[in-house]
Amino acid sequence: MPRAIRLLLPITVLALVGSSCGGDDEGVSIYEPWARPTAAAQDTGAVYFTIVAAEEDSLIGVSVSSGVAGSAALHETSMDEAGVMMMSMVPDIEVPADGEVVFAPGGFHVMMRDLVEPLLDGASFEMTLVFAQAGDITVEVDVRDQ
Amino acid sequence: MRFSHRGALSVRRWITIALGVGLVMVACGGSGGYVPAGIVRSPAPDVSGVSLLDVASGNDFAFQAEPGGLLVVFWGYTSCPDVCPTTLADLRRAMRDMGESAEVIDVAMVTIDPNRDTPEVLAAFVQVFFPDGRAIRTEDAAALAAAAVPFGASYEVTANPDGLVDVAHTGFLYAIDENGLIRLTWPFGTNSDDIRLDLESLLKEGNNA
Repeated sequence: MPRAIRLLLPITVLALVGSSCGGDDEGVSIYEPWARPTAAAQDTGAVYFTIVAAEEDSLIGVSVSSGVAGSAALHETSMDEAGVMMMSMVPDIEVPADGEVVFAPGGFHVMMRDLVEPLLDGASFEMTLVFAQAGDITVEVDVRDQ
Repeated sequence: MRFSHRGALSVRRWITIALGVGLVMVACGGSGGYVPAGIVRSPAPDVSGVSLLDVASGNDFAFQAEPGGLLVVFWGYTSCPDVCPTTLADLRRAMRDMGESAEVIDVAMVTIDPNRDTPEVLAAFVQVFFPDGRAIRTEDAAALAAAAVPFGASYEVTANPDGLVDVAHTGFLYAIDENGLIRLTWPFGTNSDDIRLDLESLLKEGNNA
């Protein structure tokens, strides 16, 4: 199967074998949050990261400072059989116990609308993810190329 | 105004054909034959007759590469946070990794959302990724739909009552030769190394032809 096609497969929940992820023994950890730099003309941006959870939880919301963007929401990009891509808002995302969920290009992402200023390479900003069990988790998002 | 064009071409069919060709080559020993990651469509679609405007000059853009070079075209829109920047960043990485040999490759982006993508917005977006990249735009919905046909691009831009705009679109990159033929079509998510190898192979083929 061409690598390109494999990459098109939905990025979904991956069960972890073992528990060697180095995070906390309990709760939820967020790894490597990043966003691509944007052009002055762009009004939207996306944030990617990996969620690792020791116990089952559910991501139910997201916010960024009003100094960064007008709004932020959980989104998923999907592709139909004709190769047409579209984005849809997702109300919540389940994270299984001892599992992880990857937010990556072409799949889950945090969509920011109405960016106040362009996201500049090397800058960073705060984003708060809201989990049903673990509550609010605020992380620093790095702006970088990939 | 609503911009939409639903292509009749099935990508799954191209993929099936590409897979089939690959399997046949493997079955026959596959010695020497380069199997691209991109999709080879047969016959190669001819986009030399496509008529859309280059926002920099205001004139028709020629969908043809310079002799011996390649033109890579992307159809997208700038309010696209995920697919479009990812695709252009992957192409940029592929071309950076090629070094000087990428100097004969030109890049152009056609907007499917001319209502929001003004000439200034579109040009600024393209040039973040490619300083010499061309911004291609028309406000004539019929002309855009006609141009999409030979590419096999499809798109639908719908303004909702709540003020948000929904966009569905194909996220392909197209490699076009000096005759205006689409030599390869890369689906969204093609790895930048695979794009680079495909570009290098196309340039080599062109030089030996």
